[in-house]
This record gives sequence, C-alpha cells and structure tokens, in this order.
Amino acid sequence: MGAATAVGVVGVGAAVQRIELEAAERPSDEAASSKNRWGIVIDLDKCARGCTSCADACRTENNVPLYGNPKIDNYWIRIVTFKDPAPNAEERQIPLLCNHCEYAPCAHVCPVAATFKRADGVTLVDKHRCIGCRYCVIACPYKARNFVFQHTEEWENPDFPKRTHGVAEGCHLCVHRIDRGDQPACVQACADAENGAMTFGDLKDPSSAAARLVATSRAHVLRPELGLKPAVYYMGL
Amino acid sequence: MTTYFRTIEGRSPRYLLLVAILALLSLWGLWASWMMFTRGHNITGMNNQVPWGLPIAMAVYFIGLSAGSLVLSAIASVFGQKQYKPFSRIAVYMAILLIIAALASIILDWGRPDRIIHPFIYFQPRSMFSVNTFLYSMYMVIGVIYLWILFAEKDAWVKPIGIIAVVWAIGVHTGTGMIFGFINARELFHSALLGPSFIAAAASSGTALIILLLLATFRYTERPLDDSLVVGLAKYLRVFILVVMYFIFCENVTRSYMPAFYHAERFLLFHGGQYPIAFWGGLVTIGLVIPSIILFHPRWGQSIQGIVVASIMQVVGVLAERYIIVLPGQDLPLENLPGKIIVSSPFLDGQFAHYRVSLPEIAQGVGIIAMVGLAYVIGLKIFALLPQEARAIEH
Amino acid sequence: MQSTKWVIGSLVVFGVVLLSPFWVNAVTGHLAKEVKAPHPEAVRGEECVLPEDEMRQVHMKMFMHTRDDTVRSGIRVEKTSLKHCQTCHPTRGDFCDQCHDFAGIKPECWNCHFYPQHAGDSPKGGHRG
Repeated sequence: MGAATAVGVVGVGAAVQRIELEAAERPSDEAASSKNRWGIVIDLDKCARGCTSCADACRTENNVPLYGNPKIDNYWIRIVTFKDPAPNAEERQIPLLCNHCEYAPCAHVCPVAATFKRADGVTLVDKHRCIGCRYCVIACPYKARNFVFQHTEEWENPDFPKRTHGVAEGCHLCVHRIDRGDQPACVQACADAENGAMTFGDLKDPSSAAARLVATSRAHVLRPELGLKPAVYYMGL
Repeated sequence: MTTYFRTIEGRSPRYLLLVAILALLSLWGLWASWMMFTRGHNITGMNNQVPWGLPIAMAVYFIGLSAGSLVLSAIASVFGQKQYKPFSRIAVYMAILLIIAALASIILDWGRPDRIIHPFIYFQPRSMFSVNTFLYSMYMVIGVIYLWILFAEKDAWVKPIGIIAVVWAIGVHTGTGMIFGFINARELFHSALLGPSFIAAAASSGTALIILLLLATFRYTERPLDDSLVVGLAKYLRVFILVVMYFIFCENVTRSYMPAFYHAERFLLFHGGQYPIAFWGGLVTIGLVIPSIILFHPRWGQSIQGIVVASIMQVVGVLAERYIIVLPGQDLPLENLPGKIIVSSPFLDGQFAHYRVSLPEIAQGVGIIAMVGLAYVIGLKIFALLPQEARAIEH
Repeated sequence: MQSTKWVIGSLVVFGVVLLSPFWVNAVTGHLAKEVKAPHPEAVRGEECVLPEDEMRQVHMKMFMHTRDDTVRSGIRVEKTSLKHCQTCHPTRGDFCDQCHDFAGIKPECWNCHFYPQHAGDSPKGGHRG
C-alpha cells in the first residue's frame, strides 16, 4: 500500500490555506521500512511569537516530566527565543527538537543500542534496555536529549507510558501516532493553532509536502558542517 | 638475589583502626550510591546540562592510576629493570583493585545499574563505552593472570604476560580518552590528543601513587626499603610529568589558535570560575610545575621528603586534570544555533551550567577510594604481596 | 588449626544470610497467616488470544518479543498488546496481580505502562506498580 495523501482545505479570508496531512498507511503489523524517511520542516516566519502549542502538546501527549526545576525539567521540544547579532535585531523564536539525524551521534555512542535508528529514520530510545549512562546526552550537538532525574508518580496521558528515573529519553517523532497515520503531536498542535508552521512528511517521497519544501532549497538544517544529515529543516532562520 | 615475600601480621591496634575507618568510609560511599539509585540523580549536582559529574572524573582517574601501576609493574620484566622486581606484585594488585574501582565508579553512576548485564549482551562496536566494557573486563582478567604468574613464580612467563598487560593497559586508557575525544559536539572534548594525553597522565599519576604507597607500606610495616629504588622511580616520574606538560601545552595552544574556539579556551583558562582554578592551580602549579622543580633539583629530587611532596602533588594535580577534562566541556553551552544570540530558553540553551559537586558524589568517590584502601590493607595480610625487604641490586 | 574458627564462622554467617527471607519476614510481620489461591478473572470475552494454560506459560516471553518488535521495528499487533488485554481484563488487581502477588513477583512494567489496579484508577491519582 502506498502512502495516501489527504488534503484538508481551510478557507481563511481571501487566501486559501491548504494544510496537507500526510497519512502513513503502513499496515500496523508490517515493520517500519527504509523506503520512508520521516522529517519535519519548520517555517519560522509562521511560528507565532509567544505560541508554545507544540511544546505543550508534546508534554501532554508523551508524559514528559516537569519538576519545576529548569535544570532537570525535560523538554522533547522547546521554544527558544533568539536574535541575530545585528544591532536592534528583533527577537524571534524557534522550536528546537531532536533532529533525527541520519548519522545520529546518540545512536553511535549508546553502548547497548538502547538509542537506535528505526529503519524509517526515527531516532528512538528503547527504555527497557537503557542503562542510564547518559553518553547520548553528552554526544548530542543539538541538546535534544534528556535524562530522567527524578521519579514522577502521576502522568497525563494513560495511552502512553511514562518513564522511571534513570533512563534517557527524547523526541521520538511520536512513532505511536505516525504508525497509525496521524501527525506528531507538535505538528498537529501547530496545525490546530492555525499557524501551520510545521510540516511533517516522508522526505524520501518527492510528492510529499515536506519533501517539496526541502526541494525549494530554502529549508536548511542546523549545523550542517557536522555532517549528521538531520531530518528536521528550518525555513527563514 | 631472590626476594622473599611475606604477609603482614595485621594485628596491631593501628592496623585494626585503619581497617575500621576504611570500612566505615566504604559504607558511607555505598549508602550514597544506594540513594542515587533509589531516589534518582536529582540529589546530585548533575542535570540535563551536565550529565556527567564527579563519578565519571573519578572513574577516569582510577583507570589512569590502574594503567600506570600496571606499566610500572612491568618495568622489571618487560623493560629489564630488575631492581624493581620486588614491587611487581603490589603494582599489579593495585592495578586490579583500581580497575575494579573505576568500574564501580561508572556502574554505580548509571541510572539503571541493575541492567549491568546489558553492555555485555548487547555489545556495540561503534560505541566507545561498549568497547571499553570489553577492554576493562579483559584487562581485569589479564591483571589477575599476571598476578597469579607472579605468585606462582613462573619466571619464564612473566615477560610475555607483562608485554600483553602493558599493551592492553595502553589500549584501555586510549579507549578511555576516546570516549571524550570522539565527541564532535563539544569543543573541549573533541581532540585526537586525548588518548595519548591520558596515557601520559596515567603513567605519571600511577608512578606517583606507587611511590607513595611503597613508602607508606614499608615504613608502617617496618621493613627495609632502599632509598635508591624510590629515587630511581622518581626519575621515571619526572620524565612522565614532562610528557604530560607537553600534551597539555599542545592541546591548549591548538585550541587557542582557532577563533571558533576562543570562547571555549577563555572559559577554561580565565573566566570559568572553578575551572581556571583547577587548571592553573591544580593541574599546572600543583600537578606539573612544582613537582618538576622538586624532582629536577639536584638535592630535593634525591631526597625522600622531596619525592613524597612531589608525588602527593602529582596525585592531586592529575585529579584536577581529570576534573577539567570531564566538567568544563559540559558546563560550556552547546552551540546549537551558531551565529545567533540566544535570549532565553526554558531548557537553558546557551547558558553556562555552573556545576557544583554534591555530597553524594563526593561520598561515592571517597567510599570507592576507601574500598580500594581496604582491599589493599587486607590484601597485605592475606597475600604475600610485600617483600621482606627491598634492596637495590649490588653491582 | 587456626583457620577452623574462620571456616565455622563463615558457615554460620552464610547460613544466616541464606535463611534471611524467613527470619526477616518473620521479624517484620510479613509471614502470611494463610495463603489464598490466585484467581485471575476476565470480565468479558469467551476465550483469550491463546489457550489459558499456554498464555499463563508464555505471556512473559510473548510480551518481551512483542515489545522488541514494536519498539525496534514498529510492528504493532493489536492482539498481543497490553491495551488489548485490558478490553477483557480491565483491572490489574483482579488479573495480573492475582498470580504475581501470590508468587511474590513485582514486574516493573507498571512503573511506566498504565494498567489500572482498581476500577476508576487514573494515572493522575498516583497509582503505579
């Protein structure tokens, strides 16, 4: 079965805004395959100032723990405020998350392959195997990895596990959602907030919205000189 | 001249008091490790910015001391310096204890040490941690075999096992250096020199430790030890110190040359707070300059007091060196948005981490040192490790 | 022979440690007065995905295997998922815990995966394994 593309059309005033949803209709009992490479393209010009919908949605969906201590609070995606070094440059914001690099340093350094690359390009942590050595947290150049420093009793979403203390974790591109054809929680939240800054799709499928945005050559990865080949692209950086 | 090895009596009040103190400190360390395991690492100074704290610096330190001791033990057999043969057993024994200490320091620092079997069954050749698990465990086996050969006095086998042990020790410590050296993400880690630099620091700190240990042990067991043997070891020590100086110099000068790394070097050398103090005070002054002056001085370098002072300073200085290898590279914020200025981030992007050592980490380190001490002190009583006397060979 | 007292002493210590499950539980009052047979129940459904005896024997291996398939390969088979068990066995207290408590096992699954212990439990109420 190939990928089916559902096109949702939302009319907003004079312009028609098309938010294309990529549905990955892979049969659930089939393994993830290297025919796909999932990625996200983020258009910073559409990222609304002060909006944190993606980060909030991710936290709720994935039970990402918050302890009220910024040093150990975990973020799988976070909004960072930045500006150019030019004088009087305006402040802008950027969502930073795991880039799901093709040559992921976290997967390279994990001694037990708890952090690994799934065949379709998603970087995952197998928490059943993780020994909590934190080498992956050291190795990631994008500061995308977290360690669970403290136990939490409660969690928001009963349909997704939480983590005990002592293991590493990070964005997993919501594999539990994309495997059933949904968007990652952050992308969905951005679409629901009617910003449409995030586009999720199969980078290996030239007809997908994400691949087409990358093909415009206006989308760039962070720190390309490291040669890691991330799957998260930014436009307007 | 044959050397007679004899166990110690181990019944004096001083000895029993020492055992008691070491046992209590060990329990304190183990209790701290238990707290970290059950309560989570939030009780330490470690956090998402600085995931590796004092335990990893101590682990690297122990590995260096172990490799250095092993190389020293092979001086007699592999490098032909027969006058140091009496010290081989103690040096190999310490090498084994110290690698166990290093493994304990690492494994007790994991979030899930109960999954200790995992690195063995899920070996990943690309991960330096995984390769090192293999190297360290084989190193322990080789050390034990080496010690057994020494005890069994199979003299013909000493040189071959000594060569294997020295080569493996170099492999172990180079591997440890590569854990950090391979990490492209952090400016203060990524370096090809880290493996060789670690070996140099291992040789110097291991020699210093063995010198101190021998002097203390022979003195308190009232067995004769010829000063000239210690002076001979100190001659090796001062050469090793020069090599360490050379590597530290090359490393820092290279980094200082690259504009992209100016901020990192300035942080390490000047405005990083505890790190410049550890670098200039701990490593350079206490660890390198003053010991070199003492050991190269015609009179001080030949006196036992001078050697003791220099060795103590070396041992402290190399601990400072391990600290500044492991910590500042993490304290320095990652350049994940190069060319931009980060204004704010809830995840503390772009901010210095200001790591502070915590009591559980110190307790674990002290506890592991105490366990090594305990195993050494009891080992002297159970095994014939210590020579009856150590005299220089008359020519 | 001077080592006799060490040998006997070590054997005594070893014996004490070996028997510790008994005397520790006796001292802390955890010895069971009576033993209740476990009775894992199903609220609905005619039969399980596997015959009951077989399921009892293989469910551990099945979960481990399924877990690796799901996490590492993305294969999600509804029939062998934990969520699916809950359709006929909605609470852990009447099902999983019955045999596990009897055998004195605490599988660590519930530290992360939500399976209500009693009806009406929610993960916000702080119930876990």
